[in-house]
Amino acid sequence: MAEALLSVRDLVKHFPAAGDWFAQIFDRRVVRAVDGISFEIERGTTLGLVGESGSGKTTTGRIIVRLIEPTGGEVVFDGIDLLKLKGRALKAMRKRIQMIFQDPASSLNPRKTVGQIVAEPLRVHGMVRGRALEERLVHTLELAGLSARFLNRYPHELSGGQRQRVGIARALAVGPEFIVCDEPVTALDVSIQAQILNLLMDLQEELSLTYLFIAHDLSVVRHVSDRVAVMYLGKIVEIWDVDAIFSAPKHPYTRALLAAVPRPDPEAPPRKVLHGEIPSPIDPPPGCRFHPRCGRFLGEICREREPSLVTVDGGVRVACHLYRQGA
Amino acid sequence: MSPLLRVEGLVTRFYTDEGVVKAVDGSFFHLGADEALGVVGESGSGKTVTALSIMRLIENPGRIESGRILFNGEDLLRKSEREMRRIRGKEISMVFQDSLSSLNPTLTVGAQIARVLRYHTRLSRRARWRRAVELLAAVGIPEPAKRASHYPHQLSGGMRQRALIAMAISCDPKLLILDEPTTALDVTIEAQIFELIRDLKARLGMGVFLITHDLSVVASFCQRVIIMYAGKIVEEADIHELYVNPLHPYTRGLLRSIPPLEGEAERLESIPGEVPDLINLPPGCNFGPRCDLADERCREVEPELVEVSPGHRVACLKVGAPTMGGGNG
Repeated sequence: MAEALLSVRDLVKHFPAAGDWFAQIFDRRVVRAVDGISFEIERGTTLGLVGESGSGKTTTGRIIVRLIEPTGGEVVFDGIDLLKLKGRALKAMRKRIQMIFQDPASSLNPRKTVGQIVAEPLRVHGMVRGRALEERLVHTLELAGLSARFLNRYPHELSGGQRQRVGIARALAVGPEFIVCDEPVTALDVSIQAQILNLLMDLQEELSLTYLFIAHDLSVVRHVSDRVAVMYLGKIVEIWDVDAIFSAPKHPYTRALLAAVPRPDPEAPPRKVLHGEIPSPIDPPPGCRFHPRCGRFLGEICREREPSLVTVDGGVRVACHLYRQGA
Repeated sequence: MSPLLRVEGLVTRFYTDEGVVKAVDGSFFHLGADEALGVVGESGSGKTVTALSIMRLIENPGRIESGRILFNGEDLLRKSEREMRRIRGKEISMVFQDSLSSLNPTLTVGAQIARVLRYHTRLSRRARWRRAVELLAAVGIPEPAKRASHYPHQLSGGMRQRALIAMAISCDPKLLILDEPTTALDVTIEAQIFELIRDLKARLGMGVFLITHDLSVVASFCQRVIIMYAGKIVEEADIHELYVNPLHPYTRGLLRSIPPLEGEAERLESIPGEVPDLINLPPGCNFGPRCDLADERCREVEPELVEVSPGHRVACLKVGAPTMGGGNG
């Protein structure tokens, strides 16, 4: 296996279920948003992180960029323990790790021009000034497919696709190596989605970027990812190479998820419906968290023992009692 | 047999400070009593405004300028507001995308369904509540008696969407309009909701007008599709025909922009450019500036929707010569 740029080990994030500190005195329950996940991303590749609302995928992304502090675990980036960084060292690290957000309308300051928005990270990091700044801005916008004439525009004057390009330019401005893309095309129209996906893939090749690509749309994830991790209720249930996971999914949840996706083809077999809803992460089911909805329920063992991720044939890692290590 | 709904030459415009928005610009289509018709388009294509026009819910500064909306042969545009109130929720129901903002946060879901029943039926108070609970059960909400006394925020997104559907079908409508009913939901919940709607449609026998941006959802649910772009219908076809033989360059572009789930993952062919401003539409074909087939004539002549084979209509100068008897079928 090639060198891992990012490795996440036993990451845990529990949020208090109650709102403020006063309510927390009476309500000690916690939301187990991320509950012990581990994965690695090799340099220059994309890991797709998929799951439904409440699976913990966005929380995972936010911990990696240090927007929220985890309850436990380790995030190692290029040999450095990210979670231990403070002050100047953390600030320096922020140049190497950037994020692209889902909703470009709410993640851009409406009172600032495109030029000011993209210049902000450069200013914060004191990277370039004056004439060089201008050149850098134009270059960065061009990377994101926008011309210099956008510098003085405001976000509201732009279309959704153009706004997302500004969000991408802002992330690229400081020359990062790693970008967390959190549902970057979800808010966009279909014809614009394809433009942005192509752009992200071109940028990856050109700038040898590494991506954590968070999305709920499986066809988008398949398109951009090298490997895919599937999350359910704060746990990774399966992680594998993209082609393998889409052609031969192992975990019953991955299978159900894939079978539920509609195909743009009226002759396709009817969608299979997974019944029930994702349970509350405050009080997740004991044993395997998927067991109440699972079509391959084995009985007692699924209800009582939590399956751990084991490596089975071909290198797929899956957390399910149907599979045994090395089998 | 005449169709349940026939829309003829519908023009709906919004008179804003910036100019006149041509939201729907001369639509002709029909929907059978038992049919599921999909309307696909991106933001600003006019699909939601078409639905709101059918419901006569266009508000200032918007105006329905011309056309006819024949529902069971009667023109809805000639009805008084009072008559429309009897039709909305009873004959024609609509389910909106955002279930949280379409439900009243201060009323329990049972009370909201009971309210619709009070308006449209003569049921007693107790009978209305009983019926509300039955409806919640019919849309697959577990423990319906308990859920009926819950407020919208106490339900999950999927459950709220089910409650909205329960409300929409409470008076056995002939036509159910669904505006992106699952866009905010996860894919497994989306599959559940469509299973439910398909089942209700078969049981109650109603026409369904499904608005979506998702060509995959349409493929698995509808019999016929209309593709809209910048206020105009650009293509209409039977569902099988559309996916095998898409003719309009925009439809083709849309189909090619969907990353496939099977087969080789190739570079996506995206449609260049952006959806035009509905206030300053380009001359000629609205899609012209983004179309790789467009030539001089496309920039001058506005293409008409013509029938190229039975039931397959397309508005493009570059596609098939108009056959005889074409037009507004």
